[in-house]
Amino acid sequence: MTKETVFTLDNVSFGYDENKFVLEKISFDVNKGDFIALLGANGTGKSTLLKILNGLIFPNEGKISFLGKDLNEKSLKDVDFKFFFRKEVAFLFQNSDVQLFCSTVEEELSFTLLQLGLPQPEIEKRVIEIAKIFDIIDFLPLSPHKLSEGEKKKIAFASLLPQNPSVFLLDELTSNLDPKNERFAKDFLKTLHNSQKTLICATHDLDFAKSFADKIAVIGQNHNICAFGETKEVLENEKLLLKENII
Amino acid sequence: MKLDTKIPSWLLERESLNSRRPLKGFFFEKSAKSFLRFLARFEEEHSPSFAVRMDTRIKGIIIALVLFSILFAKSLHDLFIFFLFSLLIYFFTKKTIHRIFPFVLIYFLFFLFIAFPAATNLVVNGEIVLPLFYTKGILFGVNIPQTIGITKEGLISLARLFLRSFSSLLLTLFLFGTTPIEKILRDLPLPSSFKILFLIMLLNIKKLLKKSYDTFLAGISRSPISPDFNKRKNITGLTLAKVFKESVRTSEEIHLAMNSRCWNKKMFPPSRFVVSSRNLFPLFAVLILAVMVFSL
Repeated sequence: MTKETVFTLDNVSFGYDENKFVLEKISFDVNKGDFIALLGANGTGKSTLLKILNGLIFPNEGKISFLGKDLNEKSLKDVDFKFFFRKEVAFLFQNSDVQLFCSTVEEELSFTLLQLGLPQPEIEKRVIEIAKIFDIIDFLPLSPHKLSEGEKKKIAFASLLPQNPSVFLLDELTSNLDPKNERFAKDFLKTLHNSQKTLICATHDLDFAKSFADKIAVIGQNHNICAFGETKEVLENEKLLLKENII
Repeated sequence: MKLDTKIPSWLLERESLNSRRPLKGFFFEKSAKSFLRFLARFEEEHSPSFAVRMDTRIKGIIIALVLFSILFAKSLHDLFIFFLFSLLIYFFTKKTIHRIFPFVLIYFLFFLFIAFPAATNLVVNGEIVLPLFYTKGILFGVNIPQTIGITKEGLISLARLFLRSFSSLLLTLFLFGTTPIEKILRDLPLPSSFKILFLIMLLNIKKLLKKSYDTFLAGISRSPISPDFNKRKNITGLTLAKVFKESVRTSEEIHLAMNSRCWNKKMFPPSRFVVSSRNLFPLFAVLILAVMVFSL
């Protein structure tokens, strides 16, 4: 049975400066229910690729589509598509500080739901449920910027869930988390994966990629995809991983 | 067997450095630290006391009522009653008097330099109660009184000004001492875009100040000796540039994060108004006081 294609990237290139590309000719498909680990050395463009997939920045060259519809500035001006896309695709930023901009943790968890126009009782219900799962009930009235980096990361991750997205773009989810929270986050990802959510995770953690991802995309130091395929197959290519400073 | 290390020999030797003064805070770092402390003062200890739990809108109405009454009260007696009332309200913040001492000091200095000349017969004519100095009646071709001193009328207007402005200061300190700025903003009837902009600005200011101060601490940690004045100026300049660049980058990232999280110009609804003695009693007290003062 062929799976539904969520994202299609066709020769996508991006550069903040026209002469210097951060990503060059990236092409791959993401199917529904995929768990893809994005591997690459520092500065290869993993975060930039996730931003492109989230429709926050747009490629200078090439095309990207989401569920068969072009994803570009023009299509995101269509209010219905934008609403649908933002509801379905959630993005965890590498730096939790930029993602947490509300005055309390409770507001953080309810922010997207409020923007989506859900009724207040439903918002409160979902927020409490997520807070219980993440064991952050005590943090709800606190200001996020007063918490530790690990706690911020946990709250940033929790804040993606109330809207119930079907695609998660996660930039270094496990960084800054203590072992207990890291284990929790990984187990949670497994649960999400089992419920057919699509997960794309930028990481440096090879063990994480090996244990959880079913596909791996390696972004090379020349900013293109130098390997894309089944986890086992990619990780067996030690020569490539060494060359690209991944191990 | 000796290990063949590639560590240079100088790294294994003990070096002595000329001891000079360690790096001390330059004006920017000192200001960042002071400002952080100032902000922290309003954020800490919002323990669930009577005044903290009072609805922000009720506080706003009380303050507006008192300010309105102060504006229209003419006699010193009325103004003094409102001043005492403001002082009483201030004590509900449960912050001890030393907390407001810096504010009071700044206020008095300001008052002394700006308002004090208004008490002399140069500004308000009247009966001189304290002659200060004598003149020939003309200065740079301008006629001035021969005796310059503090007048009774001047003192009365000075007292009015003092009672009015100090009462306002106490009320402002009461509001900020019992309510987080975020809560004030949330309950105010302002456009969502303005509220979120102000909140993010406030959050950024705190983060950037902290970052500047941390940069300064990192400087201390890496500077066994204190650099000269010019070097320190450079360090401060670079810190400022870094903070500016960082703030631009952070703002752009926050904008992206907001877009990613469906920002649709909706702000959190104001907190629910609870009809309780905590909210209604102070309101009635102010109303009764205002009616009593003006009817007597």
